[in-house]
Amino acid sequence: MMELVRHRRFPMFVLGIGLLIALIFPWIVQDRFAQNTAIFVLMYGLMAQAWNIMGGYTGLISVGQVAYFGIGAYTSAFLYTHFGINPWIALLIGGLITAMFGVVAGYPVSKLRGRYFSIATIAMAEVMRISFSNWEYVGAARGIQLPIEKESLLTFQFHSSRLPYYYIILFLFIIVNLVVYFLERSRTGYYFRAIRDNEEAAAGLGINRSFYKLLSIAISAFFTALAGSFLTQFSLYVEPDYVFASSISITVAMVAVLGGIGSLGGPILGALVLIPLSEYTRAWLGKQGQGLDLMLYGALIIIFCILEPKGLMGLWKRISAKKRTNP
Amino acid sequence: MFIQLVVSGLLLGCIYSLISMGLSLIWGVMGIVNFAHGAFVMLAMYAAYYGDQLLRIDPLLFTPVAIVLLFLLGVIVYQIIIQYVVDGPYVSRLLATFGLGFFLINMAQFLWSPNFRTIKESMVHGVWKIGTVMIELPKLASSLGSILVAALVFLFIRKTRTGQAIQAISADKMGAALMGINLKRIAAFSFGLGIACAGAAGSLLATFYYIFPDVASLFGLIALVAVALGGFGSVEGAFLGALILGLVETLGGYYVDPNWKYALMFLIYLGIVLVRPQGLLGRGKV
Repeated sequence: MMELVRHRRFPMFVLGIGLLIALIFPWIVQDRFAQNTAIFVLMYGLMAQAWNIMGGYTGLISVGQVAYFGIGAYTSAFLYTHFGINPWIALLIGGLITAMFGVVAGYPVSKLRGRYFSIATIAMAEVMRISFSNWEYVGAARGIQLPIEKESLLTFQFHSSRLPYYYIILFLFIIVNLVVYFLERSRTGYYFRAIRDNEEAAAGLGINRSFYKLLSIAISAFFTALAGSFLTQFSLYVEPDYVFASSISITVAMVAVLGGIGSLGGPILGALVLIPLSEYTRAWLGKQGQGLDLMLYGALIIIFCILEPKGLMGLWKRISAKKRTNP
Repeated sequence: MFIQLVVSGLLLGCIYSLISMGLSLIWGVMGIVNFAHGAFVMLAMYAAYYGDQLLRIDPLLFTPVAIVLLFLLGVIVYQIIIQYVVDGPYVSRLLATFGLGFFLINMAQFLWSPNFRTIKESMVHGVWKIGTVMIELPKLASSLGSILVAALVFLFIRKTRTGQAIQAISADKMGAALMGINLKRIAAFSFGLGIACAGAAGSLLATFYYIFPDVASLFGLIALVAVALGGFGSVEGAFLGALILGLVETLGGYYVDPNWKYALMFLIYLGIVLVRPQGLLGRGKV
């Protein structure tokens, strides 16, 4: 058994098994709540992996990812209701527009570091929430309702079953993971990590730090926006307080940090642990009164930060390192 | 009208600066950006509210009680949470205080419902007219109270032995430890003191501001932006940042649109750090 665990290809083996389980999951578990939870695991997994590109690899710790999420959600809802653009194309345009926003807004912000950067990201997200709450053209505080259409893959609407939504978000989730997998091994990925570890040294070696920081923000914003567009189609409405909720930013960062940042497996692991935990406590405690479930969630975040500041991947590395030293 | 707005803005800015001062103090001593700072302001507002409702103590007079209560709460929070994350990675420090804020805000929702509350009539009320400028007395009293508390904290840090230890740690942690300063004890004390500043501000704000759980996010963000605007590690900077935000809030609320005033405050911040990434009075590297 230990031989197997220590094998070089063991992580790939785990991922393969995981993918297989993910593919057949909704056929084994028919429970509607469990299926919804699985959809949220993948949605937050997607966003946390996108966060990881910025935060884990490039060292730009954002606590305002909801800005990208909300812009993506709004763009696709708006394009669909105002111009009748097909939701799939709207999803892509939403991603691209958000990536452009990421570059334009990120240009001044990416010059900041550490806490200054983090605070600027929250301020940015808050500016977006306030702007969309007051912008009449996109429905201000009322948001946008999507019309109900006939269900088909083309309209991105399914009423009789959750399965199509599940497979769509699984597909997007796999794509972001593939991107990170190849990024990790590419020249660009090494530049990202060089900037994270020592920005001056990286610049000294001739890495164009502004360009690579903005590139990582753009990729991250693109995928976060896809998650936002997905939510638009899934819930058929957008509202400023719903798609720009600061709790989304915290959850995204928390999923990545809990799993372990700067590694491919971290955000996946984090989403698998944190999202079911929070969804089931919500179901369990939600009826007891407003806020109790979220109180517990806050306490959970604190406990994780105290016990495992390097994340579950850190725990895993410690265990496997121990095995190596004392066989 | 302009002078009127400037006066209101400065009054508001004084209260913001007391909140920011606590945040700046905590940052200086232990390198933690307290994202839960606003939640402590909110708790103090509720404490003042119940002091008024149950004990019939005016929020202005309740301020010393709020200071003591929040100081103790701050020391307890340091002992059970902060001391364990203070040496951890940046992200876990950041998220631990985020989690704390989330916990406290939702605790308030659970215990006291999300409804807005106000204190009917504070002992200081009415309006003071100087020429065309109207000064609302509750705001004036709260601002003067904030200045008083801030001055006392400032004197404490400059004049007492404990205060000098705090300064020493902010300047050079290792050196201070070598001089025999008990880092843990001073850190616990400073965290309590920083939270007590938030507490005093909360109690003073309760005289005229709406009280509801989510008020925490707003004041927390204002304090963060004020400190980042002024430059981390500079108490004077935090003051200046807070005054600017107060002015932008009232002037922007009138000349632009009240709905956009907070967006405007954060945009101005983003604009200023674009030119000076280290904040207005911040020194050294970002």
